[in-house]
Amino acid sequence: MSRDHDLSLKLRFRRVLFQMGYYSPINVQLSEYIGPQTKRESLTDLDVLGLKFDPVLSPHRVVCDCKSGSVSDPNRLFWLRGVSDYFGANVAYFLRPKIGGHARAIAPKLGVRTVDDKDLLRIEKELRVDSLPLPIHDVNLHERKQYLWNIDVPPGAKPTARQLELKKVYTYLSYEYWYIDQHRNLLRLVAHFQEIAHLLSPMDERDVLLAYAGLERFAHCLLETGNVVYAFGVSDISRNMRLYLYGGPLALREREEFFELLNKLAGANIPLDPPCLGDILELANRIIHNPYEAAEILRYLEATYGWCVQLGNRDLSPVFGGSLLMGAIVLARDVAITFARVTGMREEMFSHLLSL
Amino acid sequence: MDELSIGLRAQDFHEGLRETKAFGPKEAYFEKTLRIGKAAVLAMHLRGLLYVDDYTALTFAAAQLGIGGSELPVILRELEEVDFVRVKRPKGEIERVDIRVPEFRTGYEELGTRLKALKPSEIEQAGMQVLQDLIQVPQREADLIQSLGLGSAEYSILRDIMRDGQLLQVETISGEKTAFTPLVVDNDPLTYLRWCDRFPLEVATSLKVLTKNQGLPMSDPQVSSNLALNDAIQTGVLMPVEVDGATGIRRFLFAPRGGLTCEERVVLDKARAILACVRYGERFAAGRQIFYPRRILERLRDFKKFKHGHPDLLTQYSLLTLKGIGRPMDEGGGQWNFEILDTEDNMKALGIAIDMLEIGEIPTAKIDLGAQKALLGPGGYMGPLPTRTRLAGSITGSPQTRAEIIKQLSAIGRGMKT
Repeated sequence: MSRDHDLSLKLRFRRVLFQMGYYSPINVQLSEYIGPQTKRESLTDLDVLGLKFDPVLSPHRVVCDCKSGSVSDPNRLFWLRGVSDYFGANVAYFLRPKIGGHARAIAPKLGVRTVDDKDLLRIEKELRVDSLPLPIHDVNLHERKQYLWNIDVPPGAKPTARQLELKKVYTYLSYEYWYIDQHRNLLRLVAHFQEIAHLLSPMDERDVLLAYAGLERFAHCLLETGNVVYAFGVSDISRNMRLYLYGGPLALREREEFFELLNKLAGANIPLDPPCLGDILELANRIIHNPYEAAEILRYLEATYGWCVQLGNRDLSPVFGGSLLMGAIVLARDVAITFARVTGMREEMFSHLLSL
Repeated sequence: MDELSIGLRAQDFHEGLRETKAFGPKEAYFEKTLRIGKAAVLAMHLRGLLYVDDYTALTFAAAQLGIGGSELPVILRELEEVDFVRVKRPKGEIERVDIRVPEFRTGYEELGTRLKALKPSEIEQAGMQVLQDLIQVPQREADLIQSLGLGSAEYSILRDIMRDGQLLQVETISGEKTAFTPLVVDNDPLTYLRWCDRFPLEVATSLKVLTKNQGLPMSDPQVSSNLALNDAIQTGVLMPVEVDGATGIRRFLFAPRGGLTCEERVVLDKARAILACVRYGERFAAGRQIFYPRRILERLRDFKKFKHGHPDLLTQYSLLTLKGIGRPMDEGGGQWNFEILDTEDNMKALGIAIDMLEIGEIPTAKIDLGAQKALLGPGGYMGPLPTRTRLAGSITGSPQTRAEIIKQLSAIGRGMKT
């Protein structure tokens, strides 16, 4: 595997974002399958994506391009503008050890913030990133996580049937999740994990990481759903959630009609809603009614994996300055319990989180 | 009996018997039913909370609901079994209770399933079946005894317990001893029984129609063509709620509900008035028709008024103005909005109205505001709870029941029973 020369820069900015209240996956890839599913076409990749939800569940997104090698700064800025629009980001950052005058001049017109080494040091100091005990910027810790990400096939060997099943989920999480329409992700994510739930073991570090990655995405889907339900109105959460998940009123009606016809044709009585939807609606309802706590779920999940699962700590409070937002812990546990239940996964996959 | 009914009846047993003192047969034969009934009533009060980390406050709230401090861990374990709570006990002591009580379904099915899994005693099963049957229609006591297939000692225990819990009453009608449950009697029990006597075949289906369609207009064919219901209205068994709105006076019927205290009765009357006004908008609006009554009720509960006013609202909700539940708001240009007063009783009434709309039965009529305060208050117990005084009543064992108690005690004393 080739060394990522910008990794340190990405991780430093990730730590900055964590201190600013963001959950921030790095190396977010966009790709799609063209035609029959034989070849994946890579579209582009983003160095750091920051996601944060405010106490009324409105999303705030940050995109960041980190480059230390030789590239054309203006070209990157124009590209970053496009990526920023794609993700609906509120702010785009361009990180370089040194930034030329041309780039600095054009950046404000493109709505991009430029950050060089000096700027980054100043931001880190102001946000007191050194006080964060979670070594989110530690390259070794990150590489350990990267080592566990994906199936482990020795050179020359063929992947087993189990590994091939798992690979589909890695592919979905790594490449497709950020590309497909967000409203489709929730049920699709659940379906993917239903397929592999029986293969996952809480004793296998790879499986645990995969389960936590799924859990973070599940929480993200629920928060995005909460945002849309807030926009529709919280007076009928159940109906508005279904409207969102099925792609809007027209698409919902089409699906209902499709199922009516299907049932007529097959002489069956298959409901449109999957059996897991009831549990998901209940959880989303709790999230929507506790938005202040819900807004912190993603960061708490990120911290739980890094601080408790990877580093073996049992008390999460040092990561958050000694005081935890108990509602966020309760909701994060709730998300894990529901994710396990709707996918058929064992709750022990999240034993660290459930012990909090 | 289906699981939903089992869950509901278990709660009825707890509600009925919570004010009675410990009594051997009650504790021995109804232990599982009461345990699930207590779990149901606690779950109902925990619904909507995210977690409780003040165990003292939880203990106060539970006590208010008739759940003793030593029973609370057992009841919480039952709620864990149905995954309505997750209890954190790091060193064996309860530190935090995370709440997962469902809101889009009643949760009684899960509790009913749990009670079935606990394998309730023969008397418990019979008790729930009797209550379920009597909710639908009164029965001659002789028929009831025969259908249960219990021995006379077991039946007398059952009857004594249910009678003192105000779940079962026996009156003589047309020379026959007739058993009924006060839970379905709004007004005078004798009037109700005479009505049942006149329409023995129609009562069950008529009450089912009302339970399934709470707030049914009297002009609806299900009422106008139903002789039994018309008779019940004329004789005062059913008391319609009248709304004088934009298209004239309309009357709405509700399934009778008894076994309530005076305070609970007041709240139920408010709930019926609210639902009647919403039904008016659904069936008889002059202008804007209501298509989603639940959303209207939730809107009032969550925001206390409507998003937009319209001319009909002034008269459609005039009954609520008369009852002091809310007030009309002039928005100018002939547009009226309606504001519901944000009081505990009114909010509780809205919750009951939603239950009536969704499940027909109204277990939330028993929501205890004192217990809710104990859970929501930042410091747990804040002084005497503002609820009615309750005095524990004793269950009066009949001679047969007392004989059975002595028999059981003798067997234990002789070492014939462990």
